[in-house]
Amino acid sequence: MPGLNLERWVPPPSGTYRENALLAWLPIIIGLIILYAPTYANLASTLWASEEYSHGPVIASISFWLIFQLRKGLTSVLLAPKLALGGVTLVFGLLLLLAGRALEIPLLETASQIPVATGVLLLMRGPQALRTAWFPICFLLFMIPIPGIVMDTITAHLKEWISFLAEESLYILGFPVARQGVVINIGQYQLFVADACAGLYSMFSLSAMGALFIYLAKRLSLLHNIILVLSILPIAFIANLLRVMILLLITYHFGDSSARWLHDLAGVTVFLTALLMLSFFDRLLAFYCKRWKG
Amino acid sequence: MVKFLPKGLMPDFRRASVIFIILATASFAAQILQPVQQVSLEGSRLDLNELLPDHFLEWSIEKDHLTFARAQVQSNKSEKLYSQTVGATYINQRGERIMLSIAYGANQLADRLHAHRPEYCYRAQGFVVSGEADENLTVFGALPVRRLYASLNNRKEPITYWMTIGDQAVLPGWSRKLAQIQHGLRGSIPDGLLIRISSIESNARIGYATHDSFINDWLNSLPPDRRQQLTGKS
Repeated sequence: MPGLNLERWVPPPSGTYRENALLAWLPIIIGLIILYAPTYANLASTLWASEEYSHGPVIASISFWLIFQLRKGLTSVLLAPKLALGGVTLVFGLLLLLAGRALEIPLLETASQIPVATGVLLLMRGPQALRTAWFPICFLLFMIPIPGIVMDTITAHLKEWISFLAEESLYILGFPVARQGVVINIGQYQLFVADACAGLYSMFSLSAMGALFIYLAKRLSLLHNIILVLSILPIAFIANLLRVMILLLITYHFGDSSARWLHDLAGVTVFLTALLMLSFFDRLLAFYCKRWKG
Repeated sequence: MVKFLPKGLMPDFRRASVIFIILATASFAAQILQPVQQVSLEGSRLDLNELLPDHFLEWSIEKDHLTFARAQVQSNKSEKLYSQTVGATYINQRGERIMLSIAYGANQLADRLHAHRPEYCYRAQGFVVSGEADENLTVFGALPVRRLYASLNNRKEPITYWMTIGDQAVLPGWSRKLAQIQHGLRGSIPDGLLIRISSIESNARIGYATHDSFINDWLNSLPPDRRQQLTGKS
């Protein structure tokens, strides 16, 4: 990764840092574990078990790991707690959690982590701590399960676009393809573009990884970062389209059976392709940024 | 008081302890609020096949005729665990065929029947689904149903469907969300059904009329408690 510089994203202690400062935070850590253990236990046995949300534990782990990396900065920033604001934010987060628990809405439960963490940091340290930890906190957004209604609607459209574009491009390239909704015929084979192929979920995890990449790369130019963020979704879409097209071509040339096990492999490839594309785009931008400046 | 902490960390520790108390209180409250009770229509496990009699009035099940759209989303493990579907094709003396499909979801707070909604599972198979309209059938009280018209090449399929949540018949959308929230606030987990009736018929109006007479015959032939599983207690 270009520009990856650990020291740059773990800010040096700006206040007075004491050894073992984390010990004083132990009650909070224990409290948070008690509070969220049922949420995570529930997620692990339901949503995370499904293919669509398998990125959940990865997102959570990365977020916690980043916060842990930032611990020195967080425990040592100058004390400027915002008691009122922090209290209100924390209570708001806890109410979200309670509502989520009572109504069995994992969306609210997982989303509540963001105001809860924000509130705790405001109470303990103040806005400066938020500036240090904004990324891992916001990163938790990616693990929020989106309601089925929204997902299904977007997936249905995505699926149609992907099928349409895959068919059109292969047709232009001269392959015998025909399409009916999301059922694509190529040669003697018939393929069904399933929900997973629409790649909304993989677009989700790709966006998360893209965001992490941008955060770690820490490009100094704001414009560069904005362009990179905006490019994540189109890149994820193109990567998915490529995956569907490649699967179609493999089926056409090598038959049904080879495509079946390649299907899973293609899932990994799409991920790597997208990250490579993003990295390439990042370098390209850096190159042009230099030229503009120079 | 506390000796294990290095000097100067006490203010932090005190504040952290107050936050701990807040967090612990919240988790205690969450534990109490968590719904446990399962509102099943019968209180016992539902056998969907009992809702599909082999014969009733002029209708009987046509064997080996199960060529209708199924929900495609079955990859999800929890989906498999918590919901089941049955289906059958009925035929009457006039040769009218009705495809009936029932999906059952044990936990309707989590919206697991969603994927079975015809709007989605027909579209997913390349059907063009149009003509969404809601009506109230007057069989055993008002039964809200949604009418759809799906077409794929020469196959034209009028669809009538409705859902239940707990002991209420509802249509997807706000009324269903409201019913879900009501159950959640009462601390109960309702179950639910999705009942779908369709036929191959290019004239939607004729199709819906056949559906209505089928629904009427079907509900009439079921014992009251079974019927209430389908229409709710209204």
